[in-house]
Amino acid sequence: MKNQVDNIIEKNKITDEEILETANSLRWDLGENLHDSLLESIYQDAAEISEKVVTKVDEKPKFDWDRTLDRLLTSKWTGFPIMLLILTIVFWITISGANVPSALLASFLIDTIHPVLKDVAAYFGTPLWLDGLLIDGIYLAMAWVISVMLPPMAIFFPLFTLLEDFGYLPRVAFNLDSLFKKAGAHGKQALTMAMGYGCNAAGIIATRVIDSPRERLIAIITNNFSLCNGRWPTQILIASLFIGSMVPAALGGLVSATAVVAVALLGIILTFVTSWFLSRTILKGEASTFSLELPPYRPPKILQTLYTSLIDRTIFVLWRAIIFAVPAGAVIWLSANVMIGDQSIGEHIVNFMDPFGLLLGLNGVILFAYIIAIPANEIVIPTILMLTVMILKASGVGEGAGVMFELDDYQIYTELFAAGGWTLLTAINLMLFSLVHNPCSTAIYTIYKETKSIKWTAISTFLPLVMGIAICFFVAQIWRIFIGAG
Amino acid sequence: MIDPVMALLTAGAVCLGAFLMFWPEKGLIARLRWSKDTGKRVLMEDALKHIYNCEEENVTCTFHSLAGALLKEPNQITPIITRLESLGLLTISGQGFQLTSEGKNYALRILRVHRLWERYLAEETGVPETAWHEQAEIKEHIFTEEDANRISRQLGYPRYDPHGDPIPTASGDLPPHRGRLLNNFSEGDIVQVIHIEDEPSDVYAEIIERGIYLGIQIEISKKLKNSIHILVAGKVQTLPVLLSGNITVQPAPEEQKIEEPLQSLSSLKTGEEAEVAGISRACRGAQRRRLMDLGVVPGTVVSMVMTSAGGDPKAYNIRGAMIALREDQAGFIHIQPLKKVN
Repeated sequence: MKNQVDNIIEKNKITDEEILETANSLRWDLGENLHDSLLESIYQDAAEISEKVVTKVDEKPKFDWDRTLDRLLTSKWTGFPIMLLILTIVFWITISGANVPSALLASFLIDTIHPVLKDVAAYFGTPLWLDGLLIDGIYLAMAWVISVMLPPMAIFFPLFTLLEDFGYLPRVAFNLDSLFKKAGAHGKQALTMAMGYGCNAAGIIATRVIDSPRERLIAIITNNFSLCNGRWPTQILIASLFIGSMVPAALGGLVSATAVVAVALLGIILTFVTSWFLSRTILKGEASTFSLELPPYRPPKILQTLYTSLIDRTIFVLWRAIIFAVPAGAVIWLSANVMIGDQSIGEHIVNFMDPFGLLLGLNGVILFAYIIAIPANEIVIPTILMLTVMILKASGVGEGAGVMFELDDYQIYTELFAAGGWTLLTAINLMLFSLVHNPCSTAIYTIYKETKSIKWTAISTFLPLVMGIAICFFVAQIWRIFIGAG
Repeated sequence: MIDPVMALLTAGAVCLGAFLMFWPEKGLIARLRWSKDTGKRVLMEDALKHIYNCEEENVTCTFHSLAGALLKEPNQITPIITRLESLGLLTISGQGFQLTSEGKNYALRILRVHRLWERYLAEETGVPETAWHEQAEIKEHIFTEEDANRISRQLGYPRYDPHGDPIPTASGDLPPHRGRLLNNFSEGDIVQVIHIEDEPSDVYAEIIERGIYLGIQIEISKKLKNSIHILVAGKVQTLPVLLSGNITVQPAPEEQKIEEPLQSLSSLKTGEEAEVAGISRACRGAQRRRLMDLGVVPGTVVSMVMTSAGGDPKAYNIRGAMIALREDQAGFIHIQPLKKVN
């Protein structure tokens, strides 16, 4: 073949340069449609071939299940109510189903295994510092993350995957797209947001379903505004302690639940506002392509779904969280046990941060807890408790310096927080800050893995942090002007 | 405890300060980055571009036209010209200036970066059409030759920018001028747009606003003194000469002439079927590739299946798959009635 070409060139006395030159000059006349024409001819050839070799059974089913279901699930009148109903059921199953295994895991890992480990360490004469660092610090942080995180995720993710498998989730995106379009986002962001309620890291991984670069970045950056399951316990505890207690006991539950829902709704509003802002400023130049495939409905493969969602989502995310919780446990223990002068490092830092914390309507303990608990929102409340006891030098509460704990009795919580100088403003701002602050380090790492960009990782980290500080600051000042010192 | 009113005022002042510092293009940081030296080089390069354009259009370039183009007083132009002459980029003779061959190459390099960047913005980003020229005006002074070659390679060595202007090759080649201005054709001609001048930007924006883009067919229905009536995408429009003078066209190829006005996919009602006639050229880059990947090519039969509960995306059956498209996307897809097959 090559010889033949060489011969032709030899005969016609064409040099390589001349060929290239001719090709180059011809390219000016190829026009802009070249790639389109190529693609069109490929489709045409494929169509001709399939016409010849594929025999089609031309038979219309008597009753088209898909269209009938679609009419019900995407109609103006029934589409939204059905969606709300299904999502409510999923959340209800998750919350009520996770309570019992969570409590069991906690009592097993923290109340049973922890003392056993301590005894074993004492038996072997392990030095006190090593025993504290490994068992009180690292082991407890890990135990906390597992017992809070695992049960809800193990229920929520499979349920979600079943809906996805059945083909319902793309219809949710289809129905909600016009709403998201107004904010410059993609309808599928509804799904990644919902996933974020389980875990932001999983929600961020789920943004892979959005194939348009701009809308995907929006979904990644704003996923943090979906209150993840590590933050729900904080919201519920603080709302019950401070907001529910302001009304008669009979109404307490309802009022505190309303307060938590209000915070979650604020998260949704912030998602839309931030999406709108991002799509019109820093993300304006990113390419955007919308497309959404609505697959046919399929009976879900239940066992396969259980397996893949447990392995791909639950275990994967849990493992990442554990890896990050280990150093956090060590840092928390060390901060309470390494002394400089007559105070621990933790006390120095808390005292140093206190003025700034108070300016934001929070306090030094909360700020420091949010810094050392970056690896996991689950350990924020245990860390706050441990630090508060440490600062107050309270005796009889807690397990000792650097040991995270939780309490069963609301009365003791209230007394401890009152002694720590907490007010209603502190509680409200803690709830706000818990919603709007930097993502946990698992989520930050996941953002980096997904975007492969330091820039977008930094923006996803610092944008909510700055927003949270600003929100707390303004709420605190306005509160102090209108309601009084708090 | 700090007084809350004081705290609010301080925070307000800090926000204002940060705003003045970091405001894009007008903030302190942006101004500092655009140093004096860059400013001088930019003026010189803009002058070269202007002289090159004059030579292309066979007009004499004078101090006054140059001053107008660079928005400077004529006497501020003198140092620029002397500097360019001492660098051997141009010669001064009689009335105007001529570029030397180095000067011409320099000007072509700038044009190359400018047009490549416009092409890049059009194909790979979501930057709005009206902002392309402005951004390329900045980048043409920043990118090096290697940058230009890299962008060109990434884009698959494109030959034309999104306005239809040829992109000079790395060796400075340009094709002969194509087409004529729309004003030069007569009533009844069917022509195809091959170039839309992107300066001044408001005229360009108005042309785009009227739905005229590269590749579209225009039928000239009437020519008046100050305006020209055209039939474009099935609609009659009156185009002032100011606009039509910025549009270059060539006679439409015989086999591609479109007789019937086209409809767009978004006009299809539930259950209706139609055949794709093509995708508008206004839909470009990733968005266009996406649609074609889905099988939206001439000849594909599509049907509208349902509308979402929110009203906007509609689901279409495209080659056996149900694909939801937004209204504006469906508007890019031209359709024609199905050919009756018995």
